[in-house]
Amino acid sequence: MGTLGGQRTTAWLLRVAAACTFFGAAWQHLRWDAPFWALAFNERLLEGAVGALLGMTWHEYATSPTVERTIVGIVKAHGLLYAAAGVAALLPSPSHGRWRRAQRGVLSVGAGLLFFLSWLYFLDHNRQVGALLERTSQWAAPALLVGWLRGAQPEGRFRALLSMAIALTFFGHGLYAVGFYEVPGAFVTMIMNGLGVGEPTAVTLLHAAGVLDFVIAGVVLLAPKLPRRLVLSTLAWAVAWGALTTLARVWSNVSWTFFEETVAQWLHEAVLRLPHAVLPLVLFLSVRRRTRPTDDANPTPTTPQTSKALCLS
Amino acid sequence: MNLLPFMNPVPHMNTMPLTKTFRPAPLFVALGLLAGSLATAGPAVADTARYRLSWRDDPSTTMVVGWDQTSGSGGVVHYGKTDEGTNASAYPLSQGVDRVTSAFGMENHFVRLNNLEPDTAYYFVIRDDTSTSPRFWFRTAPATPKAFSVVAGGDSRNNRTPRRNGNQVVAKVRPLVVMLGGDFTDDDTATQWRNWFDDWQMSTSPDGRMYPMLATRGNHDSNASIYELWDTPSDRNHYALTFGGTMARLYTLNSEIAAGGNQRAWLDGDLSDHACITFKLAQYHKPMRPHTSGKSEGQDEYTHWSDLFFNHRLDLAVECDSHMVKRTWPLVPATSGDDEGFVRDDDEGTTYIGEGCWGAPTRTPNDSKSWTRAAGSFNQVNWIQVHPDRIEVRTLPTDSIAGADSVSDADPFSVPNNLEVWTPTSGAVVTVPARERPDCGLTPEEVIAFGDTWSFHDQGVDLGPNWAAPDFEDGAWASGPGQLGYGDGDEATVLTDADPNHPSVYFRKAIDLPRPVLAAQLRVLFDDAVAVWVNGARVYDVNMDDGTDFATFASASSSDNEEAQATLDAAGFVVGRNVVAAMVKQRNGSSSDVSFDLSLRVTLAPPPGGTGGAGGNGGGATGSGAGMSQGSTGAGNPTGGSNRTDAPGEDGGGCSYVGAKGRWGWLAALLGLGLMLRRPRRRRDDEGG
Repeated sequence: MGTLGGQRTTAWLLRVAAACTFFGAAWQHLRWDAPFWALAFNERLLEGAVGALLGMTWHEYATSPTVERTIVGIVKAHGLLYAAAGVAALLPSPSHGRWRRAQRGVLSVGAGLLFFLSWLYFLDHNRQVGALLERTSQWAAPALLVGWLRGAQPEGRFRALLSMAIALTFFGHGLYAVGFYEVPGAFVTMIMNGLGVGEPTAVTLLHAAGVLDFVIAGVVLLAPKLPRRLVLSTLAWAVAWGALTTLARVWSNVSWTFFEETVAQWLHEAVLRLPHAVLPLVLFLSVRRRTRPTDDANPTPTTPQTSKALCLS
Repeated sequence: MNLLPFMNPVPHMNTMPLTKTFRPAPLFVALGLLAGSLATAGPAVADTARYRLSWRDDPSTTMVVGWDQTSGSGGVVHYGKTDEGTNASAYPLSQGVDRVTSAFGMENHFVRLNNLEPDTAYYFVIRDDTSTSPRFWFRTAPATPKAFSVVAGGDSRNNRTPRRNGNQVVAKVRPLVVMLGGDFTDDDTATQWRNWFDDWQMSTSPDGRMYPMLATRGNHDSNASIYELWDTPSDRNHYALTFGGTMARLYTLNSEIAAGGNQRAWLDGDLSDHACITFKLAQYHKPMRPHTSGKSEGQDEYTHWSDLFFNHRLDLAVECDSHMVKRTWPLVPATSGDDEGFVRDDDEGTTYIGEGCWGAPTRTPNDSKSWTRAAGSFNQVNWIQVHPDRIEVRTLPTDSIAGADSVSDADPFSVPNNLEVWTPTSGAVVTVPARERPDCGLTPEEVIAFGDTWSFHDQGVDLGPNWAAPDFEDGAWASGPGQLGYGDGDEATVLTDADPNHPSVYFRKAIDLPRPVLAAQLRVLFDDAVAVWVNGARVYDVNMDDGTDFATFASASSSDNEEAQATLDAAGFVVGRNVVAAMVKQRNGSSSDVSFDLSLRVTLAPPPGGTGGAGGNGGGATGSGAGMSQGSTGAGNPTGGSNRTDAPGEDGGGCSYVGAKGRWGWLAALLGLGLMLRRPRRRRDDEGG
């Protein structure tokens, strides 16, 4: 991919994005909660299994303190796993092959758990596909990092996967912003608090932003066939909008009056969404580095050796 | 021939598991067909099911009857004050369907009955072209202060056994109305909603009495499901109804849309308009301060509602979502000596109860506060008795309902035998006494109305910075009634339409106020931006982020004739002459229209020796009005009001917000965008190796 410096930047950005998501998710699971309840207390799905495996009626199961403690324990255990994965994302790649594989293994498990978490959100949001899609960047960031650390992948494939993750994230977000699903009150509140506008204006802005989300998704997917300046401009907006919607979690919800409580509740929501801005930035830099059109036709593969050298730095 | 038993209109509900399908043997099918062919009058099986009642207007004179039309068509509600059984023709009144929604796997039919008599039993059947429903009945609300009861709870979504138990509590407690605070079903799907309504039939008492629902949206519901299945007053699902004349007003709020903005403006206005109501109760889904540690705080609800609850002395708030039990002492919002933003105040506080466990997995109450009265973990609903001089709340565990007796209509407030009532150490009953209403009798009056005459200056001249001051000389200005503007064709006074447009137009109006102002509500119509001054101090603006200099244009476009509301700081007004000034801006030099009109409602202090603060105990209060209210207009960006955190403990005056973040937000956005779009340098730092 372009130059050695460019690879180093990409690796660094992917590490930061993955670590942020992991640490944000870790705080969420350890301090607060995660939608495991949407699965564990899915009466339609599990009522039969609960009777067959646990010998309990659904009512006994759903009101059992032991079951509740078990679910809480599973949530906390996930928090610890995410914390470990966050550390692994920031550690230099070990020189020993076994440790290097272990690092990639931890990151892979972390990425898988984040995908599982996205699926839980999908369940918790009444199976709205948008809820699944808008979190794509969060699990894709560590997944892309793992692929990057493995090396030997053509830049074209990396860029395609990166583009897919960005497109799905913005498409999912756009579904909510334009009102395909009911516009979440939290979105409207964030715009009202963040920009100091009234509710009608906030809704109008959200609809406009949703349309732009779809534009971003389309442009990112069709980038190889579109003018470079258009792609770069779109990605610049994607970085800015991704950063704004990420930071808005803190900006519009943290109160000086209840600083400690609101930071504890909202900072991780921003941190774990940082890939929504960082992945478009990675693609932006990648496209901008691509000064010669022949780059796409003859992608430069990254080798394990170069990856290792870069990640140790 | 009607084959349905008269006294048990839903005979299957206690005898056959609802999840099982009855598969008749062929012999029974043949016998059924034979019986059907021999029937001489009336259908054997109703083509209607999943019956429900709700209120969307004055509960003393209206009722919404809803059902699922499973087959057949032409459903009509036949009703009257005398029980005529299932003989539809014998009822003196009838009404056809007002609304049909094909939603969630059901053909939901709604008949909106009007002109009913207060505090009266009405019997009814639904007859369509092929069948007649069982006979049901309901009772309208009293129109004058008289005790009534409510069953309130929430979260009936994913534990069906207690959900049915809770429904049986309704059938046995026989309340006037049911409040369910959201999360009806788990996934908001057709199957789950059909199951839910099948289960809801168990809330019908054996004598056929049904109970109207005030439905609330939770995070597992959608606005559409609540609106289309319960025929609520609007798809925003926040509304309020008055019971017993001046006795109680029940607010249903929607925590799944923005708590601020339009909803807050509506709530503030409605609470002000009903200042003399003896008791005010609210239900909503997301608790401000959940009592289980995994649940995040409802900061949006706290920020936008708790001060209104305090300012208007809301008595009781029913919260849900957390699947456990809590009661608090009366609370007021505070920022010193507080626990998570509340302090106990038995005289002026709001009592909060909850948190939603009608039919849901239970959670541990591991996040109690210093002001928590009691907490627990079991499936329950609250039985709220509203008496003229007090509210009593009892929490009813639902697991033991099967062995309980029913409340009798002759003695509707005595606890029947074997009805389990939760008894924590702080006591079984939470009593909320009636109290003085500080804003009662102080009816807001409109001192400036839409259509009033304004002095204006539209000649494209910069009048400098002091034009809004009270003593600025405006005697030479032109004047005319609202709406003022040009370009839309609806103006009463047409302003100068220059080419290019003048950026700004000035407006001024003087009013005399005989007594101090306790509260003030602004409503302004504008296009594209407006700022408002009171006695020279800017108190409100929208789309004015680029400043209020004459030469600047609006920072954003508005809709045509956009409206906004805001609560103004009462301290900005003085006794005597007050000057309200406004500046309206165009978006740019070629925009086609300008619009302006303004309304100002103020609550004045009582005259010396007056009776402000009257009310309470349900007697003699005025200005309340009955019926439904739900809001729709917008809110803007007050700039001169007191900050919310200053409000607790202070009497009088509303609270408003400071929108200073907004400008920084715009700046940050523009700066970020500019950085990203700047021209790339030939060599980047990260390419240097």
